[in-house]
Amino acid sequence: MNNIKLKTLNIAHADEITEWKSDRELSELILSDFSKTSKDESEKWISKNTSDPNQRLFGLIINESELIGIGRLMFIDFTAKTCELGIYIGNKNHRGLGLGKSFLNLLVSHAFINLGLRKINLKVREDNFNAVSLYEKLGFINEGKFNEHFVSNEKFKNNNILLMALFNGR
Amino acid sequence: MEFPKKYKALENNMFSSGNFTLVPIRFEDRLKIMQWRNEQIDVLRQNTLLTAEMQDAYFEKVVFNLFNAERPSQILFSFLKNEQIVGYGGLVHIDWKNKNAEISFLLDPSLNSIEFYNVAFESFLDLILEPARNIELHKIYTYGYSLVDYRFFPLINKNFLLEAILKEQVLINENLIDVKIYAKIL
Repeated sequence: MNNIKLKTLNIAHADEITEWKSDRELSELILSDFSKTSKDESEKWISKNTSDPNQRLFGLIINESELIGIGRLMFIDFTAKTCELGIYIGNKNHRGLGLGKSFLNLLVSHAFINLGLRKINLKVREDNFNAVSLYEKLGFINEGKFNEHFVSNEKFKNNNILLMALFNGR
Repeated sequence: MEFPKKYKALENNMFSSGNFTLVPIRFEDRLKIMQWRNEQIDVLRQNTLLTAEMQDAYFEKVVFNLFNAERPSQILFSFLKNEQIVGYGGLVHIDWKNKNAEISFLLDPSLNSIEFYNVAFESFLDLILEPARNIELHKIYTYGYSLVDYRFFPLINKNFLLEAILKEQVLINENLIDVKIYAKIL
């Protein structure tokens, strides 16, 4: 194991964020808006999202200090005790090594244990089979599908998004 | 300040069917809308009661700017029956890249009989297709709290399909309620 941990993102991580936000392929995979991003814009994005009381924005850290990806708990509803989870490994050299599962477990634990939440929602491209499989193995269930919900190669057909959820203790 | 009356993003700005009409949201309707939202706060994604000051600020700082935007994040309408406002709604969370938007709809609660709700909401669902097609949306969808079944009948009648049920998603009056998401491909 590579001594993994979650660390609240800060502007020192802006270089990596800039690189990943400017990666069109990654943006499409995680259903994010793609745009060429400057370091200054990344710093503002980090500041804005780390100061949002209804969000927790983490860097995925290995070997004490190496940032390899992002984990987010968004739209946290402390009344209904729900949130939406997002995660990606931006550093291509660290994909396919099982780190996604480990970090996902850390995020889920943070949501359920540290924040006392009851339910985690997420959205994932239906054709992102690796991610869907990982979520299912961790107990996420399918709650529905947004059909033709995004455009790719100028087409909508089969561009579907799964809505998945994990309940604490189920 | 003169409040705009037309959305730059729309070719047409008024849509009518029978006795019902959609017009760009009117400044003079803001306090009624505030009152309706406060009376139905339990079933809205709203945490606090609105004041007149908050509503004025929202219209002046947020809604005002929607009218002149090339790609506004939302397009809101006053919903009229026989030229009297009975509700409001529109296209919100507009995703211009992926060409989809959520539709929102709220009626004056004093008119909220099941019969009127069905007629009004079905008319709204017909009317909202026009601005949606005007801005070339591919899909519209709506979130609804699963409190009473009849509120979804107009969606079913207008061929919206159930895409998701988010179980125990929201807390209303200390009860965990499902959210149902209906959608229509245009």
